[in-house]
Amino acid sequence: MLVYSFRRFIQALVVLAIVSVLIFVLFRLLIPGDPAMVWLGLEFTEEAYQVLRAEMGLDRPVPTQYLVWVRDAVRLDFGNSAITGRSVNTMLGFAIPITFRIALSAVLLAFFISIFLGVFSALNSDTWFDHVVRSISIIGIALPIQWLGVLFILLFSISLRWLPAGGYVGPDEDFGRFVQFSILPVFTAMISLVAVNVRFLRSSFLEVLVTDYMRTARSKGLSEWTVIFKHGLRNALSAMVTVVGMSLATLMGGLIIVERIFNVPGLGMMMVRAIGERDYPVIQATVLLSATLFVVISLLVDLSYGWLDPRVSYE
Amino acid sequence: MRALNAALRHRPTVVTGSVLILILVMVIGAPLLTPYGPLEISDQAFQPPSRQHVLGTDEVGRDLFTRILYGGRVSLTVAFLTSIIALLVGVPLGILAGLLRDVREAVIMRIIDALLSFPTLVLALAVVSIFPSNIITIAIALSIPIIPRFARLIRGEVLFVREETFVEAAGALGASDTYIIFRVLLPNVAASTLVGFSLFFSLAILAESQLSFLGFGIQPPFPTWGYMINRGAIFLSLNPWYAMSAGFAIFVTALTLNRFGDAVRDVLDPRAYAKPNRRKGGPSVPQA
Repeated sequence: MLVYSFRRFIQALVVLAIVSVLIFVLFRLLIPGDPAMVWLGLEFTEEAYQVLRAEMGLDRPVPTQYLVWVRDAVRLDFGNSAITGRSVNTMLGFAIPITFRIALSAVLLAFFISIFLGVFSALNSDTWFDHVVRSISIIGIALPIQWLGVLFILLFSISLRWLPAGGYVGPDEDFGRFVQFSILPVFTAMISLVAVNVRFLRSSFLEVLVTDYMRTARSKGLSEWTVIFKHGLRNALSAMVTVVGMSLATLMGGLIIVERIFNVPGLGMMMVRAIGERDYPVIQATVLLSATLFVVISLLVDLSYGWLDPRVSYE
Repeated sequence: MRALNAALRHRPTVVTGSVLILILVMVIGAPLLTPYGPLEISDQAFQPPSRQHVLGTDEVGRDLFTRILYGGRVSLTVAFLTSIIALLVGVPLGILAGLLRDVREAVIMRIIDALLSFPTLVLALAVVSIFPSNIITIAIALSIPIIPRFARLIRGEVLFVREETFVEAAGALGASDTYIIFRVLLPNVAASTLVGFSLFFSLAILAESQLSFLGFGIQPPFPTWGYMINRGAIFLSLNPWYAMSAGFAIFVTALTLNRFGDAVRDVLDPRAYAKPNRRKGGPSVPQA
């Protein structure tokens, strides 16, 4: 286990190194024009340009530039926005909690809803319930998330007038309003996750249902509830963890769209705005951050197998 | 030929295939199906659906049905180019990663992992932010997240086929490595390439629509389905058909392609019926 964890950790570091090289190449070497000039945005003084050039070390050889860049990134020093001049860290400090709350609520909700749907459709396979659940998962995979968001706005904001169509209120300002503003974004993000999760949970639960240990558990006289949730679900869950881990990549992309539809000032909006304004320091920080986050999550997912399923032996 | 016959007798393949052909005919035959041009403006903005305008009109009086048909040309072309690039790069990568058994495999897999660790849309956005946006750069940008997924699919297939009895048998009968790779492995991999292409095509349509929704796709005035949802969302209370119909077009096309891929897999791979869980078994630790 220790050896495996260590090897997997080194592997994640290698992946991160490749990621950082990719981002460096994209934003330092492939940007048309002089990076310092691009970095500064539209208006700048000759003095600021010279200072930044020296600061970015553009006069030094490329490998040195890369190392300096990595050092700054590790120190979480992302510089300032080329448009507003605000420090990127301040902007991230504001945006990350917003996105994190939406992501976490969507993932948790999706997790419990898909366990419910997946387990019950597997237990009742080939009934109407199963057919409905399977159709939902097929439809959900092809559903454009931006369309779903617009459908929700049309239904819940314009027709029924139950919920606001977009905007954001912090939980400290007014918690009731915060919840109101969060419902539609969270649900939109959640549905696409449920569609993917249910499919996998259903099939892995179907496999578990016919195993010998389930028969043994039943013949021991355990209640059906204990058999299904204690013996069955735990075994099906390890497949689920993979799916949740993998679906996070989709979720992060999806959140950009969700924040754009509902006008939520999170990380996704920050990135979209920055791309529209060619605000490279901000783009680079958000891209690097989301990739790092994903590498860390998949590392945790892989390490959690041994905990969820003791049979997994890490050679 | 045998596969084609089997496909024609397989109902899901025929149904989804026909819908795909219908979508293609409508998109290509757009000038015959509508009297308007996609950029033709009029003074009748936000008309509700009527006999003149099946889906009504948009903010500058352009016919929405016409815009959907022509928008399909742009969206489908970009998505098709994207999937072709993903196939041309991803499939050879996957085959190499599946066949090589040394440090080169590890190198390829780490690069694939690195590409996989960018959230799907983020890398495309990063590329679009740097290069001028035209059909080629957008297709390349969108293909980058698909390439590692395609490569992994093909690698899995190669790894699986390589352990099959018929490959072993070919080896035992004295077939050379080259013969086994080209005459035994590749025909088997071709099936999953076709299936993968269809599934990733549907992903590419969704991804293109997201990119254009954010305003970084093919630039207006040319219509794309994704950008039409973006504009339509602004005028949702004036003409709900605007955003709704564009979203529906994306949904139906992506769904049909996805189902077509699944149906073709059932036809080409009878094993999928017999052993539904053939890829499972053993600790399910990916990338290890």
